[in-house]
Amino acid sequence: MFEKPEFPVLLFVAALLFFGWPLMEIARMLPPMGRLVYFFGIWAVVVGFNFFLFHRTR
Amino acid sequence: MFATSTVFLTFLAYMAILFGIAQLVERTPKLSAYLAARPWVYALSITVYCTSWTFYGSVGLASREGLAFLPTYLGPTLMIGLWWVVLRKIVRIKEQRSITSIADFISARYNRSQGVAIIVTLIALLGTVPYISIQLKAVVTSFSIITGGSTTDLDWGGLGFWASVLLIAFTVLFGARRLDPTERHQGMMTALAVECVVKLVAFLSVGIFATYGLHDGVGELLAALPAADLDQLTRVGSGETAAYTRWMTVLFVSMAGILFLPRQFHTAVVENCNEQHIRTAIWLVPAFMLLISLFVVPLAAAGRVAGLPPAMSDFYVLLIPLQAEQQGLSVLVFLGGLAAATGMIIVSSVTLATMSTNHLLVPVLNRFESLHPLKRYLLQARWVCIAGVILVSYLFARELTEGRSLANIGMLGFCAALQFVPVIFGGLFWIKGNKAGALMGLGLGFGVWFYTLMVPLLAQAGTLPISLLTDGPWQQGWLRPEALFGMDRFDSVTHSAFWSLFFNSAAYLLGSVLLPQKESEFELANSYVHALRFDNRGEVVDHCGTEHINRAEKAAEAQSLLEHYFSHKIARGKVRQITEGLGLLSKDAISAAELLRFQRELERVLAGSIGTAAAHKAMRQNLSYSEVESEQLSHAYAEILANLKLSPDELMERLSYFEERDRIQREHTVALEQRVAEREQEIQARRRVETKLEQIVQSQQLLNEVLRITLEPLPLEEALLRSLDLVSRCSWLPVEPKGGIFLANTDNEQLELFVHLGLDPQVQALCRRVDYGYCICGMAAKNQNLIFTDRVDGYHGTHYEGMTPHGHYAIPIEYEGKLLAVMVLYLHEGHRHTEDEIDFLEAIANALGGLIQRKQTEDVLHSQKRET
Repeated sequence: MFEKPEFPVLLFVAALLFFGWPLMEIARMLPPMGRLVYFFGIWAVVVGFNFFLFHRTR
Repeated sequence: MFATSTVFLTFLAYMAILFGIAQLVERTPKLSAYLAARPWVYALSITVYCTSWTFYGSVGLASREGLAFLPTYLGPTLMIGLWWVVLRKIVRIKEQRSITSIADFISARYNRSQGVAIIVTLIALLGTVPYISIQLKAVVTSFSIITGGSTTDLDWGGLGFWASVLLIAFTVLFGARRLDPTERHQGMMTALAVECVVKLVAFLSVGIFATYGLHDGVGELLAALPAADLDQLTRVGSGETAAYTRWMTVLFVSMAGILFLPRQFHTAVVENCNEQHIRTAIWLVPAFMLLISLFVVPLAAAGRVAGLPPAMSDFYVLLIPLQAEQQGLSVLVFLGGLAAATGMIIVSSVTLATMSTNHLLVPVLNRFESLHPLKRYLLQARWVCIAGVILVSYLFARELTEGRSLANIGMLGFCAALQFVPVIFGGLFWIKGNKAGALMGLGLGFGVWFYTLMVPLLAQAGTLPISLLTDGPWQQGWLRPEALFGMDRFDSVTHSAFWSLFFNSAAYLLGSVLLPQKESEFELANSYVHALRFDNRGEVVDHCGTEHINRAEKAAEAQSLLEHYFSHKIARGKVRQITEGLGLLSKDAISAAELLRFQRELERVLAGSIGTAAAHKAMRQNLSYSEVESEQLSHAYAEILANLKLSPDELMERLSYFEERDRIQREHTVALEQRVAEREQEIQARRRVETKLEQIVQSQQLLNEVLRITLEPLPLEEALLRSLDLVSRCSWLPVEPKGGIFLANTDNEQLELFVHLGLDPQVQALCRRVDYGYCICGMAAKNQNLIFTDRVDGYHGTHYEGMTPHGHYAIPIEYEGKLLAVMVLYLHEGHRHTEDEIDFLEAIANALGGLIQRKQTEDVLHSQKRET
C-alpha cells in the first residue's frame, strides 16, 4: 500500500482532516498536555511516514 | 548585558565566518561538487522558511494566542508530502527551460509573457518588502535588547541604518558577485545551511535551558503556570470560531508559502541540482520545523513564569537567558536570531533583484534604443536593486511596523504568495489555462490583496486617511478594505485571502475558458502539464549530419548577441566557455546538431542573466540561418526524432523549443515561393507573347501560300482544295482535318458543295445542295456573316447517323459585297473562338474571294471567246 503513488495524497488528506476544523474539536476537548500531544504527535507521525516513504532509495 | 561594540563585532565576525564558508565553497570546486551532491545541504537551505518570525515571533504568538503559531508549520508539513509530484515536476521544468525565478517560471508557462512576469515580480516585491522589514526589525530589536537599549524606541537612525548597509554589502558579496547562467550559488546555499543549523541549535539550546535548566521538565514548567494561563497557552487563540477560521486560513496560506514565496521557490527549485534531493527534503524540512517548534510553548510558559512582560513576548527567547545571566547562551541566541533574519534577507533580496532586473529593467532597456548601452550593466543594476529592496524594507520597518507583531506583518507576504497558486497549479495541471486568464487572475488577485491588506496598513500608519477603514472610500461602507462586500466577521488575513483568491481564481478560470489560447501557448502548456513524462532522453545526438557550418561565424554571431548585455571581454569569455564545454573549440566547422547544442547553451546562459522570456526573444531577433544551415537543421531534427522514441506530447515539447525559428523559416519559404510564382507568371506572359508572334508568322506564311495558289494557273477546284487543305493543317487553328467549300448559286439561292476534305459520304450527299438560310452554311450565306457554333445545336439542320459532336466555322467568301462561296470548317465540341481566328479566316476568305471571282471572270471570257 505504501508503495502506491496515491499514498502521499491519502496521507495529506488524512493529516489535513486531523489538523482541520472538524477534528480540531477533538483536540479542544482534551486537557492542556493532551492537546500538545495531539498536535505534535500527529505531526511526528506525518514526518515519520514521509521518512519511511521517501528516505530509502527506490 | 553586552557592550554595543562587542555585539557589533560579534555580528561582523559571524557574517565574516559565513562569508568565508561561502568563499571556500565557491573557490574549491571539489568541495562545491561534494556539497552540491549532499541532499541535506539542499534540504537545510529550504528551512530558510523559518525566519526571525519563527525564531522570535512564534514564542510571542504562542504567548498571546496559544497554539495559533502551529499552522504556519503544519501547512508546509502537509504540502511537502506532495512534493514528489509537485516540486519534482517544477524542478523538471526548471531544468528544461533554465528557469531562474518564480516570475520566470510562471511567465514561461504563459507564452513567455512579459506582462505576466511583470505582475508576478510586482507581487513578489510588494509582498516581500514587509517580510524583510520584520527581519530588520528583529535584528535591531535583538541588538537593542542584548546591549541593554530601549525596546520601544529603537535606534533606527544609527544601528538600524548601519545594519541595513552591512546586510546590503553581505548580500551583494554572497549572491550577486556575478551573473550566473543557472542562478545557482553553492557557496550561498552552504552558508544558508550553516545558518539553519545555527538557528536550530540556538533555539533548541535555549528551549532545553528554559525547560530543563530553569525547571525540571515540561510537566513541572507547565504546572508552575496558573490553570488559566496553561489553558490559554495550549488552545487555539480564544477557542472561538474566529480563531479556528484563522487557523484554517493560515494552514492553507502556509501550504502555498513553503514553495511559492520567492525565496522558497529559489532554494527549493532554482538551487536544486538533483531531483532525488527532494526525497530528503520531504522528511528533513518538516522534521526541522517540528524540532524548532518543540520548545515554543515551554519558552512562552517560561517567560511568563519568569515574570517577563507580555508586551515583550516576541523576544522571550533572548530575554530568558539574559535574565538568567547566561552570557554564552545569550550570544548564541542572538546569533541564532541573526542567522534566521539574515538568511531570509540575503536569499529574498537576491531573488527579488534577479526578478526586478530580468522582468522590469531588461524589457525597458530592450524597448528604448537609447538605453541599449545600459544592458551591459545588469550586474551593477542587480546590486542597486538589492540595495533598493533592503533600504525600502528598512523604511517600511521604521515607519510602518511600530506596535505590530512580527507574525501579522509576515502574513502579508504569505497572502501575496497565495496569488501565485491558481496560475501555478493551473499551469501545471490544466492544459487550457492561458495567458489571458493568468494576466486577469494575477492582476485582480494582486489588486484585491493590496486593497485588503496593504491599504489598511498604510491607513493605520497615517499614510492614507483612516476614514477609508471606518467609512469606506466615497462613504461606501460595502467597500471598506477590511469588510469588503460587507464581510466583517473574519480577521484581516482570512478576509484578504478569501477575496483575493476568489477573484484571482475566478478571473483565471473565466479568462482561460472564454478567451482563445495561441498554438505556441498550447505547446508550452503541454510541456508543463506533461513534464513528468519526460526524462533525460532527447539530448541532441552528436553524430547528426556532416560538419559544414562555420564555427567561427556562429561564435561571432553569439558574441555579438552577448555583447548587448555583457562587456566585450565577458561575452568573448562566455562564448569560449560554451564552445570549450561542448568540445567545439578545435573545430573549424560544426554539424547542425552541434549548432543546436551551442545555441541551446547560449540561450541558457542568456536566460540566467535576463530571464527566459527576454532570452528567447533576443535569440529570435539576433540569430540568423543560411539556407544550407536551415536544411541541415531540418535533417538534424529529423534524425533526432527518428532516434528518439517519443510520445506525441514529448515530441511537441521538443519542437516548441525552435517553434519560432521554424516559423521564420516558413515565412522565408513563403516569400521565396511568392518570388518563384512571380517569375513563373513572367515566363508564362513571355510564352504567350512568343506564341502570339509565332501564330502571326504562321498565319502570314499560310496566307502568302494561299495567295500564291490563287496566282498559279490551276483549275479552281484544285486551287480551292489546296487552300482548304492548308487551312485545315494550320497548327494553331484548332480545326479538324475536314471541311468544304460551297459555291453560291445566286439564281436559285442555293449553295453547291464544290470541294471538300475528309467529309463523310452521308454529309456529301446531304449537303450537296443547301438552301440559303438552312443549316449553318445556309445561314452564313443568307446573312453574309461568319458564323461560329461550338456544338451541334438547333441551327444545325443536317443530321445523319453516326454524327459525332462538333462545332463549325462557316465563313462567307465574297467579292465586292457579292457572295461567291461559303467555306465550312469543323471544330472540336466546346471550342472557344478568338478574334485572331476570325481575323485569319476572314483574310483567307478575302484571298479566296479574289480567286473565285477571277476564275469565274476567266470562265465568262472563255465562253464569250468560244462563242465569237
